[in-house]
Amino acid sequence: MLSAQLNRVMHVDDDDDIREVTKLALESIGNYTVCSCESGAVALEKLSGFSPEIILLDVMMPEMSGPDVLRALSKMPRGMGTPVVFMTARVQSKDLEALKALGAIDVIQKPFDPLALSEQIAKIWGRHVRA
Amino acid sequence: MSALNDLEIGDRLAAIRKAYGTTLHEKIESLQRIAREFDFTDEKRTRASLEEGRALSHKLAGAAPTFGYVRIGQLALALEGFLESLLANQAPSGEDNRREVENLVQELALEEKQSQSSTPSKVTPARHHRLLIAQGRHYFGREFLTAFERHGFEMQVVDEFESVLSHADAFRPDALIIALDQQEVAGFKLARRLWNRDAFRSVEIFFFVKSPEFVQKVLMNGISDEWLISPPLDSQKLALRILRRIFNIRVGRESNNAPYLMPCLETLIRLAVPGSDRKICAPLTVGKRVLVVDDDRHLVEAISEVLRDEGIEVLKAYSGIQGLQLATKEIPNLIITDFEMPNGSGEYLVVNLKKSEATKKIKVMVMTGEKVLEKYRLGNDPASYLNAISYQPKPIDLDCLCVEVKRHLAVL
Repeated sequence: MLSAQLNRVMHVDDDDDIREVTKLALESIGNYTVCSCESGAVALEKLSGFSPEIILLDVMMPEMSGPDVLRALSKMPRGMGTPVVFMTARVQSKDLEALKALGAIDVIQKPFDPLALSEQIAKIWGRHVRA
Repeated sequence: MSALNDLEIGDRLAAIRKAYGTTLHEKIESLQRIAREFDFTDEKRTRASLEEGRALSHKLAGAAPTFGYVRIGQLALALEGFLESLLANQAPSGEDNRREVENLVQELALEEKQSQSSTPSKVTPARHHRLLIAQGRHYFGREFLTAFERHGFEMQVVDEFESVLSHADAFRPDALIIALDQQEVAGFKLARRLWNRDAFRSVEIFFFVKSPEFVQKVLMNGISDEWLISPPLDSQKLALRILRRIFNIRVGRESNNAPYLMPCLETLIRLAVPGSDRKICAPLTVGKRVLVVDDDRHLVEAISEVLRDEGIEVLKAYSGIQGLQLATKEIPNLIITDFEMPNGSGEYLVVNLKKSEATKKIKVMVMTGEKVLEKYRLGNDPASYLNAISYQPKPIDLDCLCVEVKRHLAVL
């Protein structure tokens, strides 16, 4: 049973500044507990220890791209079923559909407004819980 | 769980944004290095450089606006789209492509330099640019639309002029291409209807004109062809042209092409009516005189050149005193002046112009840099201080200045 209140968010992005601003925004404004990971490999490693309720995944990352991480997650007992939201600068309708077809519950467009990010994620989470 | 209050969050965000300046600088330096080292003779190395450049510009496009560098994000998006279209080509090499990459990176570097000396603008999440094409399905085929998508456009094609307004209401385009296809009058009237609505005043409108005779007719009437698209179509060049126009709006410059083209539309409608080509329509800029005053002779030359290309007569002066003498003698339609100059400042020039009945009605545009604004405490609105009609920040964007001059000359 999913909790209506979102608590633990994992954020995966290779850009240090984006990780920092996202963590600040989600912790300070959304009151979420955030685990920031600089790569897909680190995210997969931290998955069991942190048990995120939702994962925010950058699409374009070196070595393991966002879709690669999502595929790897779906094969892991802990990762299977954890909702994933992609964050990407490419959100045309066909890209959006392609990313959703991979299994993501939503896509957040980059660049994002840090002050509005928590609310955006809360809405996505709310929709996911109700679905 | 954090106990930060709003003020602290704001401070922290501001600090992160400031720190991002260093990252930005490094990323743009890397792009400059890639552009410098671009080796278009070796296919493998070319593709490697293109990939590296594309990844870097993608990151910039996604991150920079989050930290307040909105225009840098948009320029990076244009660069990413261009590099991607080169990667999609069978043979991306070529001197033209190398030069275009260099130009785009150069624009980014200049913008970064400017941004670092000013506070980042407010955070505005960007979205993909929306392009609406009216009646152009048979000109703008699938291949063309795909190329545009690579440049970050989202597109809609509407087959009937009548449906454009309702589509625009829902789609909110940044730019519109109206394919005239022997329906020039209807196309121009559509532009007029759209621009007359507040919500669409900033939409950049381009007209696709097939007939070279009509293009010629337009040019002969002193109207610029910057908003005309005519065959052969080059999707890369056109996408960049449209993107550049859109960027000018997004950074808050008021000079999109609507204010300039609105008065031209009446002329265009007359031109488009069969048999009216013998009518002599009053040129909007041809025959108008502009006095350019700046102690930087190179800048005076550069501005003169772009204005002359538009058929505008240019007078040149290199100090306020010289400018006043020339203005009194020649009575130009418009004066573009620097603020701080030896031998008579811009302020000296404006104050003395107002003293004479013959010169007091001459419109003045002022241009200066941020340091001068601070030094003389002119605030953000030096135009009001000098009772000028507009202010152009230095370094001068010549295209932007030119559009602004034409806009004012059109109504003088």
